[in-house]
Amino acid sequence: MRLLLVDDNERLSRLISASLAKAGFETDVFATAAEAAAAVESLLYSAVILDLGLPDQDGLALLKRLRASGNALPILILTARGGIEDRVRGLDAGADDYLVKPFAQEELIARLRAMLRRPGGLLGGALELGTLRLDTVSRQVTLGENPQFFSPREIAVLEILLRRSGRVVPKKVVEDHLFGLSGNLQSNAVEVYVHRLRKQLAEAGADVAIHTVRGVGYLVAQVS
Amino acid sequence: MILLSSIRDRLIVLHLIAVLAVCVALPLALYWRVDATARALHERALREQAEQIAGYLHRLPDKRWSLDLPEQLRQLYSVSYDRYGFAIVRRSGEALFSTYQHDQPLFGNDPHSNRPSYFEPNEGQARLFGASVPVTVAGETLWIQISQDQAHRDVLIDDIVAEFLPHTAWVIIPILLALVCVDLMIFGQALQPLMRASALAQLIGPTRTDLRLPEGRMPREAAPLVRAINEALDRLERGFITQREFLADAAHELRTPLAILRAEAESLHNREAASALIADIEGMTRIINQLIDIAESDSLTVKEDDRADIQAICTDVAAFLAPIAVAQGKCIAVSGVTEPVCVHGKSSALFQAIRNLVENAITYTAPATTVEIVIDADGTVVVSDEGPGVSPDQREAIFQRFWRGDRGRANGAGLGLAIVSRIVKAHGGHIEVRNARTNGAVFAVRLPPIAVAPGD
Repeated sequence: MRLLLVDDNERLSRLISASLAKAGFETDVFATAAEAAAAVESLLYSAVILDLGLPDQDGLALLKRLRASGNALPILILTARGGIEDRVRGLDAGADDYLVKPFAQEELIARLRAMLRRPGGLLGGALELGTLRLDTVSRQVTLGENPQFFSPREIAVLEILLRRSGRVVPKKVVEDHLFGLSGNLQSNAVEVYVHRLRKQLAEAGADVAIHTVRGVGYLVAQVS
Repeated sequence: MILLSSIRDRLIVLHLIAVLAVCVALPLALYWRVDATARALHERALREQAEQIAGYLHRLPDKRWSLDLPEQLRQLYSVSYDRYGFAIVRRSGEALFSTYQHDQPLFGNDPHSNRPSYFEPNEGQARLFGASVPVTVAGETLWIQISQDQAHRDVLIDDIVAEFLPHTAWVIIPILLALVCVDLMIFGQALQPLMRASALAQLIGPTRTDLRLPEGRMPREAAPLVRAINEALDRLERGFITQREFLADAAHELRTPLAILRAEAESLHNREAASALIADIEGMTRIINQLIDIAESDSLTVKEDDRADIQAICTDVAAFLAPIAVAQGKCIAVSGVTEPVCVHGKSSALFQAIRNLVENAITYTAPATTVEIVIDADGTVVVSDEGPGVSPDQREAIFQRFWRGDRGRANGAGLGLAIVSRIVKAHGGHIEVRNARTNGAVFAVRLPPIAVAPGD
């Protein structure tokens, strides 16, 4: 899988490419918006990692130009600008995700994977966290080698949490996702599914746990 | 005058002095004028009397003079009436006729003067007032002298003069006092743009560098000063902005080297050394984020129409920080109102404030405990932890920048609560801390309620 990294800091680019290579991604690095635009036109990339402070042009302008030309490539902004307004501006301009420097390489890789696994994304197959694996096509859940059995709705909840693993998924989003699947939903339905998932994962000795952020939503994370 | 630092006081004092001077001078001047007028009236009356007498003076063919006064006039000038006297005097000083029968002039007059002259001799006890009027009858110039006893002068005119000072002059004083009162109001009116400008100037500070004094309605005399002050404020604001931008730019610039440092640390083979380094880098990252927050909160201005949903902000903060809390084996929960709570404020700044407050709580809450965020319907946000709490003597100090107490130090900079306090103040709200009944600290952020505009 080929990624495009647009960043004018040579050392950082080299370090990012190295850790992406370990995660199985090939990376092309360009330092200017002009070179990046030319590369996107001539080569097929799976995703773009875009720095905003480029020497020749603002990264946001490049992003807007790509989106205006109908390019739907997943784009992650990687920038030193961390304000909420900057984030909103980036996402409004059409970025799929936004990561502020300095960052953990692991997080960058996890976000890239999540981006590529989105419906229509290139990593269609499986969602993984620790030893937990969910095949989004066959709807099979495994812990290491052992298959786990869940109801379709429980799998749906697990899927949406795994797609954003390490981040809080608002309860409303989980509810809307389930509501889309069936008709009506009891008010505490999500809690019931999460409770069952959590219980079974704990009994099976999983290295992932579902945390409740009361009043906000849920978060699945690896147990450290 | 040095003691009177206020323009208004100076004007009032100077004005009062001027009014007092007028109070004295005006009656005197008027008295002098009235007196002069009364005197002129007397003189005219005497002159007319002299001319009247002259009308009855004839020269007989034998060169003798005859004076044939009617009975009424004879009565008027009679000795028994004792009010008026007259004498008709020749150039030689010899009196032709006289009230007093002794052929003496009433007063010695200048035989060469062709104009009426006036006298005020004392005769015995009585004060006389007299006029000597030259008339020409049958080719010879004669002087008709009229005298009047001062005690019997024209009563009306004398009364006006005599009564003027004690009665009429006092009318001037209330009028002038009323003038002073009106002037006080005029001064107040004239100084109002200055007063308004000073009230506005009170608001200018590091957080409100955008304010300028109004030049439009300023008096012409004060306008150059106001303009100069505004220009000075422009320069100061540019300096402030430069400094803030420098701070924010420097902090932003540090993020890329930190990202490199972190990437390098993560690629180390010695996991133990790597995780220690990464923890340090995370501490530095926090400080840099807080410096950026500080630069932003210093330039924060909350506009009148800024609105934020504090409930959504708290939920966003909880979602934002939950992964960090979970990684430390801690938890966050949001409770209270679940509907949007609209407050007067800037979303991004309030997010920073609540984030710093919750980050602080996560740091201090004991492992396996929960940081509670409670939202009240009036927009109050309470963040409580289950940590060691804040001792009463530190409750002010923890909001100071770079405070070096236990609570502030753990994350390196001790900036977090200062940022919270700064942002809350900029919103016109206030923050307080107390200890929970069991254990832990309870921070309460109160934001002023939205003033309901008419027509809303």
